[in-house]
Amino acid sequence: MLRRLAASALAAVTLTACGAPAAAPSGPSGPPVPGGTITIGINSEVSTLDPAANEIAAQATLVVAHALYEPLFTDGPGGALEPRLAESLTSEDLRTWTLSLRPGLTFSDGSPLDAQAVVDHVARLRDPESQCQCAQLAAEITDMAAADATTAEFTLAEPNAGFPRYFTRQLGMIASTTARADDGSPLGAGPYRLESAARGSSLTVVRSEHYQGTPGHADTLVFQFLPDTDSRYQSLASGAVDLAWIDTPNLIAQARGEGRIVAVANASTATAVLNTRTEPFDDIRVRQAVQAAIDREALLAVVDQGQGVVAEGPILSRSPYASGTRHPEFDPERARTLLAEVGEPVSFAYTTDSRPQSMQRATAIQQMLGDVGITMTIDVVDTATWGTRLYDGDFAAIEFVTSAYADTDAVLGIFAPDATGNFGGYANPEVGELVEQGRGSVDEAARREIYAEVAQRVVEDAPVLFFTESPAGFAAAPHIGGMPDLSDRNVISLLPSELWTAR
Amino acid sequence: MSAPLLELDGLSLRFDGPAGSLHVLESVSLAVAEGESVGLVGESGSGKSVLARAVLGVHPGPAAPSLTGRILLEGRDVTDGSSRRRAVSMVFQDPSASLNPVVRIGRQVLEAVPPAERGSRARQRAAATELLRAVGLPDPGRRLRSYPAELSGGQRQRVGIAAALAAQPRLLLADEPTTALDVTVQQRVLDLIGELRRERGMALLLITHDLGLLAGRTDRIAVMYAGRVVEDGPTERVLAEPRHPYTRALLAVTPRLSPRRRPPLPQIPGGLPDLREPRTGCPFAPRCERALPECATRPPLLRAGAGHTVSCWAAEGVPV
Amino acid sequence: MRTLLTRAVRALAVIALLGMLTMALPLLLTGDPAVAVLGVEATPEQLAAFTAALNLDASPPERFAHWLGGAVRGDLGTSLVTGAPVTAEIGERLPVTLELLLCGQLLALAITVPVAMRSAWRPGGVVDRISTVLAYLLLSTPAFVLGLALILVLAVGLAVLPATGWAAPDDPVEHLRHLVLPVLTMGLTEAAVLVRVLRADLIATLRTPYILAARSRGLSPWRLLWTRALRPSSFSTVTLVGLGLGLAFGGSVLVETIFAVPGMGRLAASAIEARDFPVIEAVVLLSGVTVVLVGTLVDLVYGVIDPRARHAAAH
Repeated sequence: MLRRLAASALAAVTLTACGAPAAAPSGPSGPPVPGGTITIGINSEVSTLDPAANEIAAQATLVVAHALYEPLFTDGPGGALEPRLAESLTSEDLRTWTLSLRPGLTFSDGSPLDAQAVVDHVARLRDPESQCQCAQLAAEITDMAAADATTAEFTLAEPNAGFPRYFTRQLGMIASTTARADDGSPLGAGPYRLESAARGSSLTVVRSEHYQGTPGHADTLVFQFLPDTDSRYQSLASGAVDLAWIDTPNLIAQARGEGRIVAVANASTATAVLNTRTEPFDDIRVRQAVQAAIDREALLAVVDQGQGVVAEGPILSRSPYASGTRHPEFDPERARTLLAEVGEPVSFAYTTDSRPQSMQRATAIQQMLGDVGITMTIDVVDTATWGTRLYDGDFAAIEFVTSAYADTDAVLGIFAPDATGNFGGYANPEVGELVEQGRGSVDEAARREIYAEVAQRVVEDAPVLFFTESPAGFAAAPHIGGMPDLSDRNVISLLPSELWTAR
Repeated sequence: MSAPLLELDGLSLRFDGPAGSLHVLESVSLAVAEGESVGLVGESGSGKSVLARAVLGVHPGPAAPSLTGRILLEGRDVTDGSSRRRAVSMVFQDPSASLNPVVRIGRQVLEAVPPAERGSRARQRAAATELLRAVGLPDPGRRLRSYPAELSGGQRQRVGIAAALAAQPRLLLADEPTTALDVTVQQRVLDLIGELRRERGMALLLITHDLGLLAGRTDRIAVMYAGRVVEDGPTERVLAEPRHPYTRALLAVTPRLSPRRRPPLPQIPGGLPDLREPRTGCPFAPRCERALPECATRPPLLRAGAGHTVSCWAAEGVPV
Repeated sequence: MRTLLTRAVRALAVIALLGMLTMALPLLLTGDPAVAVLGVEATPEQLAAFTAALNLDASPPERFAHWLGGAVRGDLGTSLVTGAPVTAEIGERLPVTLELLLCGQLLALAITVPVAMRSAWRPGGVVDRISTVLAYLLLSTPAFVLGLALILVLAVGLAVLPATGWAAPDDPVEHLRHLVLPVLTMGLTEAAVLVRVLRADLIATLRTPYILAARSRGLSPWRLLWTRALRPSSFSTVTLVGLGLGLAFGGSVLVETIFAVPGMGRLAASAIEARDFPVIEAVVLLSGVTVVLVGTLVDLVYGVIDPRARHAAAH
């Protein structure tokens, strides 16, 4: 008995040693298998499919939008835009834009998706009464009209090179304004359509007969709402779901370690917004001292367990405009010198929500600042209060973890004085002018230079502290094929129609 | 002579616990004949209640006592705890505590009858009603559905007696059946027990600390002290001519109701021996005014007239 | 009859008070629901429109009156987050949580009664010692740890049950399969407490003279425990079961979150986080009604267990 036990133990050890995967797993080999059902576990409930309600525009729920709506464009490798329902969106002067739709598109009930439908959709979302987070983006449009069945013209108030990217989110998720499904849900033109919804529990979609593009491989997709991080992962491990959303560093490491296929991108950026209207951060030296006292490499190692990269500024590492911002070095001495200049002792409250990683980050920063003589207290609030404080500017320093930095053109706009999203009241009119200039610059090389200049000014003025870019995405079971490599992007853009199951 | 209904043959009983052992009964020998009524007398701590429970075959609490010697019931050895359900039953001391407060009277009365023998609901109701009537409970049919809290103390004790009779026992044990009752009720309950006993030909072992109760009610008296039977004889004889110094002392201290001024109650000096040690010799010796040197060794039972035994070296009128 | 009326009046007073307090919540809580729902990228105009449309600026008595007017017509408002009627949201989630709670308590009792009886009959015996160790283990394990442990063993390791999720009762097999792990988690946690309490009460009852009397009359241990000892020993246990049901939604939040069960607990938790006041208000009041109902039920059960309680109430 003992001998048998020892023999099998030896065999197990040998097998493990030999069987350790050398390269990242890539799913089943061979051509895609049509048919079957793929179950995807996401982290929040989707109770309405209307793009105006914003629920399907979050990083984790974008996959639902891609199944039902197929936006006009999606995020592609290296920050490029891949046309989907649209063929192209072009402009000579970045102010008047011409949209070319693919011909013959229909919604899932057979009604036509033409240029007029696009215009109507955008108009609905642009209405100030709509709750869409895209409303103020759409407000940049002063005029729009359908020129013919497949062409629409948009005129903007100001030239904006980033306009096409708006159509990767709610504005591009064209929902029919003339008809609804029998159960009241909106009609989209994506590869799948809604079959049934169990409130609070799951969503089931099936292949849409009216879809014009390449049909999805799987017959049915089931999206399950699994809010608890750990049990969602266990659902993947036990085979209850085929894909699971993961956004914590230890689970990403665990998924990789267990040899699962992982499609993650550095989509979320951890930052802290400083209130430049009040003490102590109305003084640039204090802001620069705090910035210099924080070791971002250490934060990456401790809080993110080495997953992701250090954030060098508002232009992310995978942005098409990435050009190497020179972020000031970690330099406690410089911090102390600046503080000596200021003269008075600095203390402030750092507002954060109660997620474990946020708490860890805050504690680490508190220590680092303590080393240079800055007293920081941590003010923990719940999510709703955090949001209100941020919005009202009711803070000295407040953590802000967001995926907004994935869209460089749009996000640089928040550094203009009085911009919505300029929560800290940063007022540098030069930066505002530069952003406008860059957006309006037809010459891409010139734009890139201007944006680089903006980013450099921002990291030197330090109205916002940039910490880390963190990975998030999906882990899949080994029988799932078609999982993309998202490592060169900043958006978790998973197209469920490209997934297939070998079972 | 036929075999006695109950025979205790050299019964010793010990409770073993984490703090040591309690030697509660030591070499008790006692016999009760069919239809005979015996009074068992002793002060608190004499072991009389434990003896009754040993005869009954139950013990409170999880710890079981260890027994040496024999208990014979209808000739059968039941020392090891074998079933004696039908033959013996007990009337308990505190009728309020010995009736389950949340169960109706009717159900409790019939508890002793095995389920197999109970018969239909109607039969059960009739049997229970009959028992309650036999113990003199007014309106017995309605009382079946009452709860113990709805009855007076005396009525509850009657129910207890009825429950004891349900299985038609050959031997009825009555453990201080009147101690918790009013004086006026005491006599009635004892009369009732006596009447029922004669009607049904049951033997009775009446346990009490009050010698005075036994006059005219029992055939015999057995006196216990510190786990031993010290005197055993016909009631009138024991009461008129007690042989054991303890018995004499007991009689002397029994209060008598009298209109004349009484001298202060005499006391027996000293106290019970420590039950944690087995006793050598006579347990009463330390308190006895007649103690002899031989009393340190255990005295044998000596006869002192027909059916009257006393365990004492210094008993009066006993030839050595 | 009079007691029933007094009870009803008292209950209504409690609920009315609760209602007033709940309506004051938007004033007491930090966090603007408009920002919570629309996100930090919303424009001030959007926020203003949202707040006005949902009447969030009115005073508590105004809001309570408005709410009451709707409530008697069966309209509890609409969710700020989903836009669906609150009655629909609750109507779909309430049966789920009720099922979880009831099954959990039933499982707990099914485990508790035999284990406690055996332990009380033979304290220090095998069943007693094993169940004591298990009870303390369970008592010191938080519900979410127990839930995850069960998932690891039964769903991942042995792969006999689904790890998370919920299936509607129209597929009875799947429904039962998804029910097992959450009910196990709730039932085991509750049983650990109930066993200790019932065991202690049973041991005390078994020492009473009336149990001795019943034993002397020859009742078998099983009959003795079931018919004579259990009822006088059940008061604390009944109270605890009542509390467990009454604190309903709070008690089920953790289990519902871990197992992704769409119940009231999760609805309440996410409503609070999102400051979805119409839902919060409905949940609080529903909770109040539940507590009152369960309390009354427990009182009735007391009366059944112990007739003395019945008589005491009558006098």
